[in-house]
Amino acid sequence: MKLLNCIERRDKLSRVMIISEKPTAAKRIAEALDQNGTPKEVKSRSASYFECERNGDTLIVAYALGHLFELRQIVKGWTYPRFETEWVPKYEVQKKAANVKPIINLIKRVSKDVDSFIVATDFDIEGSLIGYLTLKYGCKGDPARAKRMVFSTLTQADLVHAYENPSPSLDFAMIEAGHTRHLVDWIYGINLTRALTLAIKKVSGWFKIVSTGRVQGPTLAYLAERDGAINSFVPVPFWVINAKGKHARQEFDLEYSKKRIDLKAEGVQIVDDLQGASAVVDSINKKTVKQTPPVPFNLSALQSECYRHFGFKPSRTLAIAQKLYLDALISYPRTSSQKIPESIDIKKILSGLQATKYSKFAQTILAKGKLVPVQGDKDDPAHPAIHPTGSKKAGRLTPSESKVYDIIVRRFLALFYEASLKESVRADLKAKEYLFYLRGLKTIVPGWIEVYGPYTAFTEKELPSIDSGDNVEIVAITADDKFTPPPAHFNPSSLLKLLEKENLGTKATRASIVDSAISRGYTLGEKFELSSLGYALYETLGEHVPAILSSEFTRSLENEMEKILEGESDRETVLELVKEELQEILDDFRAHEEPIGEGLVRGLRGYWQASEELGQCPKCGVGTLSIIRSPKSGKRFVGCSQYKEGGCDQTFPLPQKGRISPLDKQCPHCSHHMIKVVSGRRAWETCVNWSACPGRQEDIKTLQEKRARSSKSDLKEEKEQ
Amino acid sequence: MTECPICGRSSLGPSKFCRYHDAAHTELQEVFGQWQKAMGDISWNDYLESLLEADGTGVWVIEVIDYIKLEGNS
Repeated sequence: MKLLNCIERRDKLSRVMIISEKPTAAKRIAEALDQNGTPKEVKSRSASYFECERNGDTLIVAYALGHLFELRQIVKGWTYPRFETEWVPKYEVQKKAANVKPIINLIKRVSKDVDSFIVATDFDIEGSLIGYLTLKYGCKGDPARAKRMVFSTLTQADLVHAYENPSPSLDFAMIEAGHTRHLVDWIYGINLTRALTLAIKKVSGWFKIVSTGRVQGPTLAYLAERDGAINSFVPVPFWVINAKGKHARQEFDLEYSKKRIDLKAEGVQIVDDLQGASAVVDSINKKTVKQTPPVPFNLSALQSECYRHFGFKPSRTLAIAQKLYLDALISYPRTSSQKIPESIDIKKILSGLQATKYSKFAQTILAKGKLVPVQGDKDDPAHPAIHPTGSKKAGRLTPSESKVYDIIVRRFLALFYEASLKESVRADLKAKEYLFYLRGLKTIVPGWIEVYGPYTAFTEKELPSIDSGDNVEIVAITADDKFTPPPAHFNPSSLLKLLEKENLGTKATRASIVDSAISRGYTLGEKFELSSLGYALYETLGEHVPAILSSEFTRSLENEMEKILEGESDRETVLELVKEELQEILDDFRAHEEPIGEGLVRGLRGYWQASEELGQCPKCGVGTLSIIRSPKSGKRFVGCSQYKEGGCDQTFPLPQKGRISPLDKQCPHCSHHMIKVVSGRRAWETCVNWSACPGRQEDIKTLQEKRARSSKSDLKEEKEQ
Repeated sequence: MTECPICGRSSLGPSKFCRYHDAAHTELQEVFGQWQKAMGDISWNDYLESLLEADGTGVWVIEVIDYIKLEGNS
């Protein structure tokens, strides 16, 4: 009997390894699962894991750092095509990834003495693949025997529930979809980038990496088409009637019933007819407008709102949301869902928010009793819409985090408010055969705007005190000429929306695709104007291998990969398709390697000229000033091209931080060439002679005085306190 | 193959301009009709001058106008 108890006990007590995606997530999981809430962090060199006790079991919570393993080509050689790959530790492929080596070594060592594995990485295709690869190659564990923790927030309750009720097997459909996506993107990226780079090398001898990929190609085509439409735009004139009315000593703007007049003669005629005339109030109509709360946030809607209100790029919003998620303040942000499912404990979240600055709103909602949120149409089987957890952060949020958190909380609270009601009033005024409007708008019931107000564009407008039959004197009237506007430049938010609409990339990758258009030098600045390199790439590929720019193939590929997720297709089928298509593209490429290389070299020359050359040297008058980086110190400065041949020693110092681009203008103070410096979110213009320029010295002096004044007033305030 | 007199890119078929400046030139000619209708009466030269002053005229269109004015061409 004693022996049996002992065996039972041995069977029950076990060492379980939980694999998480990041150190912060690992710590949260360990804190949530440890029976005393005080897990032990076991450190080994620069890596660590957390050890905790739960119901007699020992839990080892290890972490990855995103991907610990990467794809590497099996057949050697920096050439193309290369289709065969293997998974290897990331540090063997990327020099910069040396920090993952101690983590892999530690996981390998600790996992030897483990009875079972649970994967607790993010529940999406990327997270599932990270968990699978870490388990298979890092722990040498059997994926078929591992369990899966599924959760959408890192709160204690969710984590305990996920641990107590794990999925009995890994999500192999997601793993397969993630695996396929990695392979497809690797095969595309590596082969096309090498083809472009080697074409340049063949023509010029330069080794300059010019990259493209499965989604970047079609993205470049969209950018080029929009840029082309803007550059070849011819505006057309039209006229707008601007009139002022006067009644009971009150003056107000009158809105002409036609927003736009296409013929100049018609505009002139209206002005001539109504000079000194008066209008009669024909009718006043009231209408109640009902506006329901906006639907819950998914990632793209959050990114769009954060760009609109705070100017945050989609990648920045994603990074901040990810941080808020790891702090257990919000749910998992990489979601397409616009729904708050019934399984979410809304009452608990609202109770949590009662202890925050949102207390007033949370109390109002709780007082109603019935907690039914507004829902959107889109669903995501893996995660609900982004919502707060109701938890309070121990420390303070950064200003950017506070902004994103605020908009998420307010949006969530707004879901439980009633619709807003507004009264819209329109007075119709007749002047001869012409019709004018006067409009008013006022809130009757604020509803959800009470809480989401800071993020709505709404201005109340009072209708002047007029009644039907009143006479309104037209005191001024003009027909002002305007021009049709060109198509708008893309911004990070609109480009991301386009990619989503065209089903290119995923919710997790689109933000980085948007960023890469700028970082690779294909576009300039936030407006996504195509650079000469971007045009060269677009033209050359369009002429010789247009398939790279086509969105059709990559879209059909996305659909195939979606099918894997649904169990209707498999990795082999998709890879066969990719290899077949890519082999054709690469054969075409090889046949046109020389003209492709020539086109790209021309583009690169133009790009370097535009981004590095400032213009004629003011000292020798022969050479060209350009931005040069010292091979010894790595520091940049402005130097003359005649330094070697003509002995011109003209140099100017440059700021070492930020992106510098030459401007096509001269300094008004010293006539030297101007440059633009963009560092972080700050951008300023200065001349290359800034350290000696008389105009800049005044600026520097003013700035120093301003700083001195500000520090004096700070001191005074401190003393007074 | 001839070079575009504005940017040096290869010219497009029978046109003396590259694909971009050719597109801008074509657009310039097509929209002239709309300007004539809108203004009642406007000469080609006044049209070009107005476009140089107008908001939103594309960069390639401006380059084509400058070329036309310089060359005295249409």
